[in-house]
Amino acid sequence: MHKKNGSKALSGLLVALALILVAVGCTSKTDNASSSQPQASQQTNAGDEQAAEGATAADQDKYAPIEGKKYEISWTYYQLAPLADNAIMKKYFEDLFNVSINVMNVDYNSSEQILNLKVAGGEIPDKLNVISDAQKINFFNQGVAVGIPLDVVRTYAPNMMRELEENLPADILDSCCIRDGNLIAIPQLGKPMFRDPIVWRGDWLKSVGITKVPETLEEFEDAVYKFTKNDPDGNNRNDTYGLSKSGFSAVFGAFGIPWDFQVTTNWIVKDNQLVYAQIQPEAKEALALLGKWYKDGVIDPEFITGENTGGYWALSHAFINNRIGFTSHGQTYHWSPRMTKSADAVPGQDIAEMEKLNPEGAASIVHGDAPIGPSGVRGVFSNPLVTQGGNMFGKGLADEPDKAGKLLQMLDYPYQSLDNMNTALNGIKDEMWAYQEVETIFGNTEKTAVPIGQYVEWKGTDKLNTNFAHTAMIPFTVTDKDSATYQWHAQIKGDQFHLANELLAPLPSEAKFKAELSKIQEQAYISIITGEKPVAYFDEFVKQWRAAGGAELEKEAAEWYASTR
Amino acid sequence: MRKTSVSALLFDAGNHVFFILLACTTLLPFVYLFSLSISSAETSFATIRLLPTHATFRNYEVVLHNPLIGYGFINSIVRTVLGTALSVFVTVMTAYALSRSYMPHRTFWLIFITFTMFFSGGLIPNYLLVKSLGLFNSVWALVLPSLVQTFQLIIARNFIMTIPEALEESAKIDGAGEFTVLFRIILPLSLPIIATLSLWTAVGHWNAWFDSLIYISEAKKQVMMVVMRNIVLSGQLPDVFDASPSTAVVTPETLKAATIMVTTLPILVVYPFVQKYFVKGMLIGSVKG
Repeated sequence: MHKKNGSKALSGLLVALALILVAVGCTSKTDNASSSQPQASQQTNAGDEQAAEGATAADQDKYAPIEGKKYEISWTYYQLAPLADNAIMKKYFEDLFNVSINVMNVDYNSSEQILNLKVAGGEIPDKLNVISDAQKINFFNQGVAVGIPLDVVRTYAPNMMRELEENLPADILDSCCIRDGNLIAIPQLGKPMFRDPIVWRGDWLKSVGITKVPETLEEFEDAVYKFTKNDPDGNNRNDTYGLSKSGFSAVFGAFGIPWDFQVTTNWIVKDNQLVYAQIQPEAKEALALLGKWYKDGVIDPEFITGENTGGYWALSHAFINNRIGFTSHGQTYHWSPRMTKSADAVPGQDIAEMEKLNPEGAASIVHGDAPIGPSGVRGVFSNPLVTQGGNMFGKGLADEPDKAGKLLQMLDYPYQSLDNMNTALNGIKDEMWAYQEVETIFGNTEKTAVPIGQYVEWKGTDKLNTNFAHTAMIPFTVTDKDSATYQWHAQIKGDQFHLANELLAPLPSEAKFKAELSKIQEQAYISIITGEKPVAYFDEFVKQWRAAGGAELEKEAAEWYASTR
Repeated sequence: MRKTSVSALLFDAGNHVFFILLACTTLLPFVYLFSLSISSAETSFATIRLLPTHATFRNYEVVLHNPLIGYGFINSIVRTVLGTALSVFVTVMTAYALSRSYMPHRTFWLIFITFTMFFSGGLIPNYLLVKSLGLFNSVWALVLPSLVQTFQLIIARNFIMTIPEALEESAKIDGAGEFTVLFRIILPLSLPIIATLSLWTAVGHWNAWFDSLIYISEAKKQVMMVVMRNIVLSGQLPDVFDASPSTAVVTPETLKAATIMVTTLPILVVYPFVQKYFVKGMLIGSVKG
């Protein structure tokens, strides 16, 4: 009995001791956490002060990299896989710039989450690659990333700034990446020549007796009806349809509404106001038309799950498998033919896949113009001129502005000459790649960098990417206007018929309402198209959308639009 | 006497047909993936087909020659073996202690531990904890945080409670100490629960990938699942550099299929043998009589 009482007391004492130790341990942790807080706000204040001064001569000197000093720069980039051991180009650039590059392996598919974790743990990379605008704004507002005065950027990265300013309208560059005269992020440029493709099965058009590629919405309607009813593939089976989900882009576009099977929330400018495109009366007209087509069996019943059934996202399996005759899936370059006469020229991914099954069908592909709608409007969805996110400058650079100058010099490298760009993209000149002149299908010759020697099998992005080439050193790419790609896109009018989302910044309440609003919209659209609900239900949907938070978004969008004029 | 009535036969037939269909439905994706993995990259898989046109093992060659897959395999095996052994050992010890009625403050400890089953710190606090303990880039970051799962602990404890205390008392009378009782008497009698715990923990460790993703940044120390994830997810999101056909080359579907097969094979091989313990283990924690 004695023993039991004694052991009870002893164990009670031990428990108390353990709890005290835990409490002590926890307190010291909180101290660390709270001590880092004032630091963060200090940095934001410093950033503001910098902004107020503008770029004085003292600023320029402050950012000048110190000769001979070997900087340690922590780096993140769009990584397809962890950095290879002894990454060739990492060593090359480290020697070239006399720096030591510390790559933080951030898996691209979970980039936002992992970056948040790293930042919470205090590891903020100097070159901070973010993939969403929301994260970009967050990081800047919380002081995780800092801005660098524009004049300083122009001094240390003049070529990069020049490319940016030449290829991006000033107001867009301003709203995405400049605050108080400071550059807060280097954007990734969207490609002005790329948009949703307008692709027809040429052999089907011929087989149903259509000689002219459809130009108006009526001709479009006629074509897709004939695809459905007149057995264009000649197999005596009623198994073809006119179009599927991606094709809606052209139909909505004929009413002036930008819509893409991947980007279904868009804002447009109407009567000098920024309004939500998907609740406009024009969208209702488009839905009514689509509903009629669905009832007549012209739309593939499997449109709800989309045209792609797995694998590379841009493949339209419905189109490749002779199920539909019109598609806007992927981007224009996925449907491009071989553009040079060299032996290893490859066509766009969709054409390549289709050639495996149906070479004649693949060869008959025709690119058309966007169909003109009843009010004379036409277009298909295209991405905005800047993509989301970009490369930002980590907090640590505020303490070491000379390192920021060095980083800017490194980022300027690819834009200094064609050789530099190709080195950053493909590796060491004449060792890993060499220039080759190939004849294009347009009659001119194109000088391209072609992998040589053992690096031929590196062609493609994975190996280059994990050896610190490709996206590692290049914040953004610009399409060369002499290239065959540019010429082909000009031929199919790739820079025309663009309908883009005109809202260029994330709205403060977007994250809160997005999921619910998307669900309401998806359900409403699908039920109206499939006929489950009448077209009149659209007005009900608009009311629901506004009530579930859409009204607030409309207000915020109007405020943003006003602030940009 | 076996009932040979019509209704019984009908029921049997219906049952058999249903389960054969169910089995086929379950097998179908697997057969498809297998045939994908032994096809050459030039075949179009835009239409689903079950039999490959040309069988080739080239994909497996490429996969098995990828050094990262080799490292991934080793890391996964090390993590699984180490994690399972440690986890089972500590869990059984804890369960034994908590099962003894004379353990001081037993109720308090039980409540304290069960509390953690319902509330946890979340992702960021866990991340900060592992970071501050200096476990980054080591296998311990994968093994230690999930060392004792409360649910498994409770099941083990329930099982050990069914072992009569009389056995223990008689051992103590003969002069056995606590550890002798644990290792000589309780452990041999707890083999079913040990097998169950081992199986659950091993499968958990083999399949885990997120912790490896966030705690380990060196490519050579990643587990198999993360390597596979990188390969399989290639091409799923639009590449920001997708400028033209020549710059975007995607891992062929056939290679992805071969990678998945290679990853799944070990579990497939082990499962049939330990399956019966799995089923038994599910019922172990339930109350008996």
